[in-house]
Amino acid sequence: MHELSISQSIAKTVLEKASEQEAKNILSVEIEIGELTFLNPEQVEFWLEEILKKTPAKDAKIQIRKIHSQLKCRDCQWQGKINTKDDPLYHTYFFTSHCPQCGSSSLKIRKGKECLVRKIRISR
Amino acid sequence: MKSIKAKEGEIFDIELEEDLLKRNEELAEKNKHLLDKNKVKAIDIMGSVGSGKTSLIKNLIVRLKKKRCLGVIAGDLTTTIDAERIKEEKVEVVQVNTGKECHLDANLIARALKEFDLRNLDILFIENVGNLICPAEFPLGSHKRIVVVSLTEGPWMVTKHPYIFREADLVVINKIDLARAMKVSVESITKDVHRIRPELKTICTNCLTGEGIEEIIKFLSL
Repeated sequence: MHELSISQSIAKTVLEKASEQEAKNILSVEIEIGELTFLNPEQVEFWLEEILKKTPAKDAKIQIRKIHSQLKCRDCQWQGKINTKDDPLYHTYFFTSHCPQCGSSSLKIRKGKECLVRKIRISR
Repeated sequence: MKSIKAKEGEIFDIELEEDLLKRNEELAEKNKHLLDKNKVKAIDIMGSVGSGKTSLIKNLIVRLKKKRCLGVIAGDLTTTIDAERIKEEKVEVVQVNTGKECHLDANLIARALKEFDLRNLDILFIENVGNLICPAEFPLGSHKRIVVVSLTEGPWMVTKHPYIFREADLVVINKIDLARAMKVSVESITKDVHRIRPELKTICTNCLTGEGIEEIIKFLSL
């Protein structure tokens, strides 16, 4: 939903770190996106490529990995992945947010809301 | 200390581990800390375009301005329409134009907070950009988050956007006077909210008559 602005932040982070390291070129950028964010990896990749076009990262290989969700129920201590509804009306990542074990809606999100720039590969 | 200097053309991997969404959360915590220090209670008001966020804020202001010092941050893409509407109530308003951005973020709020004399403020209303999706992902540092849903948005708004209701402390069901015309019932919207979170408080309002506003003030202890 806000892929353009997040991509701009990613690009800024990448270019700043690369310049700190006196990089000549940026060869690859590794990104991880949690599946509970509203970020579509395909759109992030598209925008990043556009934004980085006239920068030292223009030929960088952009790798985006999905981080699976990890939830914990505050009531019964159940732990596991999200339960997506198999219904075209529902976006895949939107979840019913109920514990499959006890039905509680008090779920803590332990993983799945990240947008990480994990690693960059540079040449000097 | 031994140091090794890279040769020309050498390749390096640099671990960054920069979580960009986390950065917003950290900034939000800072905002909250600043508000707490100045004893300002901040209320983030989220909801679709046209759900009645500005009308709700105006209603709250009318009832609160005699006993509380109020401030408003009005978020919008490019216009100042909402800020002008709120200014009619003679309270301090800071307009935040996000340009093309679909939500307010903690950084924009941090900048807006600098425009207020926080020591002389009791309550700060933050009107988010009209959107039921993105604001959920960007906490601002407010103490309470309200989602406004109006009956004119049709019967599916809650079911289609469950995520924002996970983040909310209160759901305001607005424009209840139009239930019959819209063929949307308050009960079914309430049921949808409680399917997501059974304990979530809902309050029905009609911002044209002021119905329900006192209940909000009481519920949020404003």
